[in-house]
Amino acid sequence: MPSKIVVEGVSKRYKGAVAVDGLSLEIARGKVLGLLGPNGAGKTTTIKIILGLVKPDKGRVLLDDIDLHREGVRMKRLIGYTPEVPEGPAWATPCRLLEDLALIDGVPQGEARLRARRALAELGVEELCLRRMGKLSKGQRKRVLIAQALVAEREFMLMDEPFTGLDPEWVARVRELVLDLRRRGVGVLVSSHILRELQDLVDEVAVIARGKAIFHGSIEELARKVAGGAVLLVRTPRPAEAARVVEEMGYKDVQVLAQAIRVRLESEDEAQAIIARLMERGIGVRGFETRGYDLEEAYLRLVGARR
Amino acid sequence: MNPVIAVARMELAREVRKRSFYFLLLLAVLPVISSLILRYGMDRTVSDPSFWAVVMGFKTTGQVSFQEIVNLGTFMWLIALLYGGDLLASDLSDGTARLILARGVRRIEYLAAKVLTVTLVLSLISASTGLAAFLSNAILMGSIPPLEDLPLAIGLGALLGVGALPLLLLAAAIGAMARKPLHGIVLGFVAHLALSTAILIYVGLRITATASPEDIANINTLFAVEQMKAMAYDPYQAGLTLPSLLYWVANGGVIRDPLLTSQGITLDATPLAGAYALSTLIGIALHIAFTAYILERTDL
Repeated sequence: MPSKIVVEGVSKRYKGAVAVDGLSLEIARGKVLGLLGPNGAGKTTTIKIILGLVKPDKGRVLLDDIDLHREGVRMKRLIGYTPEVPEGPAWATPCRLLEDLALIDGVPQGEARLRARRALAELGVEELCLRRMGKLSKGQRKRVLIAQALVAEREFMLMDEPFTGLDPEWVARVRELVLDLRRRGVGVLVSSHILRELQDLVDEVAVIARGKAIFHGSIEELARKVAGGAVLLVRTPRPAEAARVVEEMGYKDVQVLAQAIRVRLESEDEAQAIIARLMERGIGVRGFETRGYDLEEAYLRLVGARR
Repeated sequence: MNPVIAVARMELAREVRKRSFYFLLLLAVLPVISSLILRYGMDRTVSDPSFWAVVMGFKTTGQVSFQEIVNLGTFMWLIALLYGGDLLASDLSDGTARLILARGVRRIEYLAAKVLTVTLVLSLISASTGLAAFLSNAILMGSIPPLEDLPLAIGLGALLGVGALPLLLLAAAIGAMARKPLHGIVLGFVAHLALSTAILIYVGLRITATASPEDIANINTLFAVEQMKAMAYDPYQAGLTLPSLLYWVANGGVIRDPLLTSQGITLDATPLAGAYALSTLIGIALHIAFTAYILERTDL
């Protein structure tokens, strides 16, 4: 049994634009790796490169020591894949689709139908078994597409934004599914652009921005690395002028809101100086408040710094 | 189950669910229906025991009739374009290809499964039309035509499905590049039309350069003969016309076209059929290689 998928220095450009740039990561069996990054960071391309759906310009993907796209093509059956977009053939029924995919996975004919039904039941869509995919809602299709990855025994599972389009109940149940896969020794990669989705779910997180890995470690390490920032909210009747003054002070991340501005600070101590300068310039300040970053903001700050 | 067979099974289910499949099945029984109307509704009978070949588009009678104009041969190119345009483009645009190819199926295996299945479907439809045409002959004449024609009607009908492959694969490759079936259909048609027109221009120039004044008097016949020969360079037309030539090979080896016969010209069908068969095979091989290349380079 292979113990890990190793992605070694893969790069991919689309018409000159960098999608993935020398990315390396490892998915170990029995662990959950979070692949975190803003939209367009290269998460989906990375997953597709692992699966051989996109050919990298450089780098390779190994299953232990075997090159997955040269000698190990059939071994891709050991890897389950759930796509981000709730797509699929509109003409097919979930039962028919999953049964066919199970047969392609090498599941014996007699067992394929049973596996299809079981996987659909696990995702709560067994009652939709005979309805056409084209007639299902996005959320239902998403669950069918998660189910299709469960029709065969997997050693690894690559889940591209699995929570997008699901209601809160099913977000919780898919999280349970991920944890259950880990308990069964499956190596799972879960991609997301929202850090909160990965909290209490992943063992490690790889943060990517513009196709490059900018952090790799635990979520706690990520929090420590980016801690210390703060946000200042100033209520003022002249937000545009206020923003200009703050930008003159050297602050780059200033948002103009209705009757207010929002400024990102290195520390809460900087707030007093900003308020003093605004009052000095005669810009009315009706009130202000500062608060520390939560983890989501800390992550946004990390990827924002590299965008 | 072998992944190629598993993908082919999935493809077969897809093809059978298409509306066009039922439309084509309806067309397959159309000869029987029209024969019933002719015999019992309009009090007409046909005495030609091989009228089924007219229905299939393998031969002409020289008379203007419904079957002469609307036969399987006249719209097989359209069927090929419709099936080809959709063959890969749909799977690529709706994500089905991703679900299949992420499972350790090689792209060439995926293509092989799709091409084999669509060939089987088209051949089954056209063979069914052959059978229906044979039965319609029996209805029209009131007695069963020579039974030795039955395997010919079914076999050559099935071959029509294979002959459509070069055009079908061209539309498939274009559809795959654009990820839109309509692009494959329209641009495939444009390419087909362009090559046919180029052949016509070539024939015209050739006749102009070499024909004597006596030949000019029979320009229509001369053009028809030269065009038949030149069509061997066009795999799309050669594939679709090959069954017609094989029909004549099986019926004395001489093409008995009314236009040629009226001018006393006999044209040997066997060498032409050989050239058309070679052109079709080379066309299929090149188009499979081209489509495989496109698929291999496509990021999913």
